[in-house]
Amino acid sequence: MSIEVKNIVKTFANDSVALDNVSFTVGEGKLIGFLGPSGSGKTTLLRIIAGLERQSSGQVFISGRPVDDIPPQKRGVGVVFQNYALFKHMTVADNIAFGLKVQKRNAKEIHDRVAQLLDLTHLSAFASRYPRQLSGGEAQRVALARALAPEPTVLLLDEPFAAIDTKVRRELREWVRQIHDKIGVTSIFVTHDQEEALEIADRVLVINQGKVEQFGTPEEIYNAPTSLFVADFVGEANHFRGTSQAGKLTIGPLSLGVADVSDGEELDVVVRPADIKMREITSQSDIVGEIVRLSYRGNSYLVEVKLENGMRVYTYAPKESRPLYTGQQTALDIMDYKLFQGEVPV
Amino acid sequence: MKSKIGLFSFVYLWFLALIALPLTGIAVGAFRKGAMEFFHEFVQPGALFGLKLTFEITACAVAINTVFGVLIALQIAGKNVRGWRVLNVIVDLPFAVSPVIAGLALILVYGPNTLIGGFLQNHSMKLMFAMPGMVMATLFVTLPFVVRELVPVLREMGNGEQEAAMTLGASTWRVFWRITLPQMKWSLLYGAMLTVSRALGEFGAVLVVSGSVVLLTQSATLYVYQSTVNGDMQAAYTVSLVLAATSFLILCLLEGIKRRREVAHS
Repeated sequence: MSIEVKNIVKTFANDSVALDNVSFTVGEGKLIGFLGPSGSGKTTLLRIIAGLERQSSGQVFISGRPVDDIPPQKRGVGVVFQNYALFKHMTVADNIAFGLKVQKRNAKEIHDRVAQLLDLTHLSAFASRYPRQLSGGEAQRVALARALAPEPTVLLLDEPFAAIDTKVRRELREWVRQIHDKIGVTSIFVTHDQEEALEIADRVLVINQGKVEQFGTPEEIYNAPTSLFVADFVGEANHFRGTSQAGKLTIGPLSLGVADVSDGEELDVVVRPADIKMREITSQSDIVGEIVRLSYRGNSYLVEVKLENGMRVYTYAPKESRPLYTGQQTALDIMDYKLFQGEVPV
Repeated sequence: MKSKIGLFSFVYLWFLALIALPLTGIAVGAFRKGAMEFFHEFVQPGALFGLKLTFEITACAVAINTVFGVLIALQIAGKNVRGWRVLNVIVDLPFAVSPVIAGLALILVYGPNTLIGGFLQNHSMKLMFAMPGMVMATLFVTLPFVVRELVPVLREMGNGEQEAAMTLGASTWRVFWRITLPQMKWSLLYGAMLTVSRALGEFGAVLVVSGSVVLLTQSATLYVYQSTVNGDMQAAYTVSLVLAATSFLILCLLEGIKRRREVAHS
């Protein structure tokens, strides 16, 4: 089912603004990521869609129907909570069956549906265990199975992988994507981890300080950020600031073309580490720096280069590239960069 | 080592002097003229009536304070009413105020010569110097027990499971019975048992609001006091022993509940 959020504003009792005129539409069967730093309002937005919190103004539509006056019990929304919120006094099977019992389905039907979900979430062996006997990843799967059991029209996941260690988290999020594709339920998940958002979401809604910064596909978010915040927050980035002069922006030894900007403008430049290439020094006019740190990243190095004026620049070097060492002098080519004036791209 | 033994002996001596000896004294006193005499005193109309009244008052107080204790605890823990902090302080008031003063306060508001009390009396409802007043006094004195047991449990539980149940379609009522209550039941029972033992032994507040009329408003503790004043020590010992034995039984129950609760929370 589609979800439409229109001009949602949420202010708290102390007048702080949690959400400021948020609007977006999620198409049926899509998987959407809410991405933002902590305190950006993404969880509040999720809770408003679930009906657990009431917006100050604005409207929420689920499959075209306004749901603002419908309590969470009747919205047909499945929620996976950040700390799972499993029922501690019930077994895994009883946790999953809870929503079905509320719906007063018959015993046979409940039994079959629980078995089906245990199978889907690879939890059949854990059916009679209690939540305290489960690992984080297992508990997360129970929470998902429980939310899916009553066949919700919309699935909401609040920081679903935050409390799980890295390796399991990776498996789990791919698996969540698979489950989503299998069931086709419209889903939204909240995360502060950009890698997570870019990897599994169809579209990503970037939120900062209660405002939507950008809503787009992972590629758009990464390659064509529409604000300085998005460029800086999503992906690794070198961030510099300077003033334009004669169609150029000169920051220390860097000189970047800024043809369309009049002189004397303050500009922000964001350069992805992948858009900076290292090579041997060949001419006097090269941008030259000294490698001060090499961090091993598995199949590449993250290289920190100190330029002549003391500025630090980050770039990647493939593992099989020429031997690198700290203290080494290197030339840098800047292949691509993004310019912003204020928050707006130029 | 020596000082340790010294300390231990002191503690035991203290315990002996303060608790063990007086309790033994009551048991010995009750049976010093034999079991027949004990039974004889036990079946005295005043004694039987007092015990019956005490148990009735206790039953009422526990039932009412369990329900209201749960409601108040939910409000304080959920922080969803304005002024929950004030409520939180008021709940402890009965611990701070002497029961006699509590009783007096009730008389001042609901006594026969007051606005509310007079009105009720005109509609043939007598609160003070009758059982309803005694229940009220006991309610006041025992208010904190259930609340104080539940608030920390509810706080620890948080909102997560309740919200999860709601999104699964459960009504508020169902959430309470299926999620909240099962998780706090041992603490609730513990609080209720504390209420029982306190209600059984209540004296001051009940004395003020009852007038201690024989065979009418004289509860067990009042009967014990009256008997002592009258020099009828056998009667006093007998009823005291029954009350003490009941409390001991409750103590054993509490111990069992405590263990269950620890298991449930680990």
